[in-house]
Amino acid sequence: MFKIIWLENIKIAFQSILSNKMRSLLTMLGIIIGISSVIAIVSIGDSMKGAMNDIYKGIGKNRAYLYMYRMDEVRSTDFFYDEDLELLEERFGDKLSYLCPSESVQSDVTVNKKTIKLSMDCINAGFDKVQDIKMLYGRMINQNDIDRKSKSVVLEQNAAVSLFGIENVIGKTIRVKINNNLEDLLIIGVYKKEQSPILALLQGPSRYEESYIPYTMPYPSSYGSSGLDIFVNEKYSVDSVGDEFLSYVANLKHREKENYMFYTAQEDQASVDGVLGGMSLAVAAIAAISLLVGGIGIMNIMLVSVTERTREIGIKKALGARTNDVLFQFIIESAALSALGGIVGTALGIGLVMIGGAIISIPIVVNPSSIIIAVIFSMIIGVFFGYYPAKKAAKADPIESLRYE
Amino acid sequence: MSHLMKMKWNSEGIIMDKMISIKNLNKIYKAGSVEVHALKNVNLEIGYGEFIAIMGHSGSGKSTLMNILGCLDKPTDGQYLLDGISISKQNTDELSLIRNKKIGFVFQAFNLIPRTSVFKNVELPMIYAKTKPSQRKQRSLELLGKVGLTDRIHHLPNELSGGQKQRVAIARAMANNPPIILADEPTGNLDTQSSIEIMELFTNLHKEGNSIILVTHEPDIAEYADRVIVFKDGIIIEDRRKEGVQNNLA
Repeated sequence: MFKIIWLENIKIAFQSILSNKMRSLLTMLGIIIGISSVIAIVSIGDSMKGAMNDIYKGIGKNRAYLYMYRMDEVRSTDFFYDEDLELLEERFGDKLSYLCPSESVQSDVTVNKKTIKLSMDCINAGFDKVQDIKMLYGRMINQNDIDRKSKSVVLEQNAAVSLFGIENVIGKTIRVKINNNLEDLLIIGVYKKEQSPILALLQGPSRYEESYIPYTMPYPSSYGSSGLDIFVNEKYSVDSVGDEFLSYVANLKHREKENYMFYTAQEDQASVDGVLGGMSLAVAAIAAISLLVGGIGIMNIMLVSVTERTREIGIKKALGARTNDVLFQFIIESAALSALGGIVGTALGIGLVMIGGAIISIPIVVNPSSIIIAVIFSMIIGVFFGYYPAKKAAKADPIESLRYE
Repeated sequence: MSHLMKMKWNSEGIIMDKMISIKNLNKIYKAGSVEVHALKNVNLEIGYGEFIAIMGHSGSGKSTLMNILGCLDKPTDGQYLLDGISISKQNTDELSLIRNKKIGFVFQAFNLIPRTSVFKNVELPMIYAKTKPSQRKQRSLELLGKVGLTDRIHHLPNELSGGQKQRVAIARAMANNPPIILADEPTGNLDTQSSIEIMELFTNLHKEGNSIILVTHEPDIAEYADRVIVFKDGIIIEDRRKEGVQNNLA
């Protein structure tokens, strides 16, 4: 029927927002806080997911552990021995890129009256091929070390520095206690552990310094291991190889598949992603309540504004403003108020997350769609909560309005 | 200046020499169980180009008539034809349109839009009339020149004197070139000097062919008009013309 004078209404709305700067700012504050917290929380969630991805990449995308699980009584045959390893290597061939008993040994180490707690991870040759290891000095454990059961150790940089005060400690020895025997281990390499800051943050400071030793060295060949450390060849699916592996092991050990567990980082990542996603959704929902409060704030101020401008509305009606002209003037005003709040809130939210991200040095993920959704959503809030006051203004009787003092 | 120049023809080709034609008009306000008969069977005809003063004490019905003439209110019954349009049948949005095109309001309290420049105030009725921006600008400047406020166009209403405010209001009333200017106590808030200036402005506008309806209770202000209509208790008790002024309704 009647065309609405959009452009003029938008101009009038912005004029009115600008002519009450302080009030406009205070009104927008609710939306600003709401939108900025939703944006911040969503992008913290996204950034955490990104950081967790990095962590799992660190563990190894194709890494898996097989271990004994839910056994009523444990038999000696349930453990894994050298011959089992040989059988498995033969059977699975190139489907696995790495296989090793999953063991580690802890010992106190003292050099020049300085004592640290050292954790020695047992590894097989080729560990550095499936996992990124940044060698600073010397070399990694190789097949020769495995075959000779060599008394060698590769120290993490921090362990080297803690014990000797320097990084390059190749050729020095440390005395450790393994199975109640004192052993002198030759340091053949120093590496630097690259850990994502978020993981360091989550794990807290570790009591143990880290190192690698050949898996054949600490234990006699009669020793059986309760678990296996596995890397699946990237060409194969971790799940299908895992299933096949589990069946084979169960058959080999005269056990059921349920008696062993094939654990992959991927599975874990999916569940962590799920938890993180759910958590940030829940917190964002709580933050969204502040949007509701912000919306009510806008409604309140628009009601005040309508009452305050009763006379102005009367004048405009006398001059020829139609119901819709007044209605849209006020709706556009409240939509503009809250959209402006949305834009400021988005900027603030991203700014906060960026500062936070810079402090704990994790890469920040800001989803562009969340920005668009935030601004559009805040506009919808403005329209929704602005409708009632605007309707009130539009319906006002011009004679009554003109008389209003 | 002959009224014949102002004659108009409606769509049926009938000569409409009456700008306003009111027949048996009644207005009854209901306040709870009490009925107030504000206008009682009023008959009134006003031609194009007239300068009329409507007088009466408060409660006489002159404000009610003013609201009905200004299409701000509808009569309870009776007929009101404005420029050939029957006002009783229009809805609120149509009334807005009629006010916009046909009536220029000048109020006692000036009623300029606060925090809005003089220029924008004058432009506003043309915005509602959907006039092109370039034309709006030209017309606003022309009108502000006419009322002698060219140097005040970017001022805000609160930076103006009463007389200046009322001149802005008159410029605004003229914006869409309406057939009637309806002025409700236009000098009520002004000092004597400003009142004289404003009334001279109205007189000049009348000389240029504009119809002016003035509501006032001050006899010396009513003196500017060519015809004076006096209300009492909702009835016209007097309708006199200044000597030497032709009665074009005769």
